[in-house]
Amino acid sequence: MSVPAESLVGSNVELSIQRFLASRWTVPASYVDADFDPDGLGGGASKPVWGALSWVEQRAGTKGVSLLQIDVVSRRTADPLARLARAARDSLVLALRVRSIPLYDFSGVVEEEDEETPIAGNVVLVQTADGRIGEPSGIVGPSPDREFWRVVVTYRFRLLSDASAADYY
Amino acid sequence: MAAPSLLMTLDASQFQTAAEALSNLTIGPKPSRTNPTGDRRKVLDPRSIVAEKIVEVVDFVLASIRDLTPEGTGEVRRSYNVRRGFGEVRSKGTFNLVYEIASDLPDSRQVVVNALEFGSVPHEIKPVHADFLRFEIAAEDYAAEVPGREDGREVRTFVDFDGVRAVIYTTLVEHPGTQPHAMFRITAARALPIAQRIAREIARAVGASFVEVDPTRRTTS
Repeated sequence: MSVPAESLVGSNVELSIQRFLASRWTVPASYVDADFDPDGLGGGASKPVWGALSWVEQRAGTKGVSLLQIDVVSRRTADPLARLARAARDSLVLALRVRSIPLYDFSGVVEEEDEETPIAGNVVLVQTADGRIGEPSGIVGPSPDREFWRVVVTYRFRLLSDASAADYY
Repeated sequence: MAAPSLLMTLDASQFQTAAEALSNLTIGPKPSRTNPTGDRRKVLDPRSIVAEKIVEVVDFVLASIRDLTPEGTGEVRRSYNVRRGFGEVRSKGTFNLVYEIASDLPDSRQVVVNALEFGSVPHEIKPVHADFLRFEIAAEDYAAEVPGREDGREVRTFVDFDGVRAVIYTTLVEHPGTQPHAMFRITAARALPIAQRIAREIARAVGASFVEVDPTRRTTS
């Protein structure tokens, strides 16, 4: 199994995960939705619940792991019992309950019409440190954070080529 | 939100299985040097070997967490500490070794560690114990616009500006939120392969120590 070098570029890993998440998780989230605006500052309605993605470690593709923190945030005024936050959290866990995420090459993508190229022979694994597949590494919350309910969900990803014993580099 | 900490547990039963597999011996009921049952089993207390090796992981974890923590005033960086304890007693009389790495800051200050680990949502800061919040910013970061004024809220802000630093006194700060630094989670991910390597080394070292005192091996070789 040979893997082209460009498949190991970290941005391909991140964008592939974000693309996959955007296609399966219906809650609006930053970095996935280009028009993300939870407060409705652009003129739209303010959103009662949303997700905010931040990459805290990006070493998938270099024999390491990538950690993604997803904050699920809801307004306590619109969601007094944190039901929306819990529902969004659960739908996130369901959306990422997969063995692997297909890996795409985004290097040729410049405009919206451009299509990313699937990379054969390599995928992103969703796996916790103790080996559970398709599960988050950690879920904290919903806990009250000022005027919001906040759930912090952490996911751990690594490339199949990083997980296998063969030397690709 | 619970304060972040990193827990390293040496599972005694798994450890025992590994050591037994490597030594062809059964670890006895008590970790003592003599075996009261008088059979060929010799038992060492593996905890000294474990403690020696595990320091490597603890050192790595502490250094990594400190390194990933933003410097700030240095208060959080200095506060990390290791606590060692023994977990529940297992059926065979062995212990789980537990090392916990966490911040020693008082409970009221753990919110800082939390905000660094998980980041914070955009929020407002208002003075609680004084009339004004006071902070310094670099001159080039000073923007003429004053927070909160545009939506009609009463915000009083004064600036003491000497051309290099601007000292701001204000009754409201609109904090944009902070990015998570994830010191503990990143360290856990980085420490895992190291911990696994050291666990194998420990099992091998303990296994070897059993082989050395095995009388059957000595007579046959």
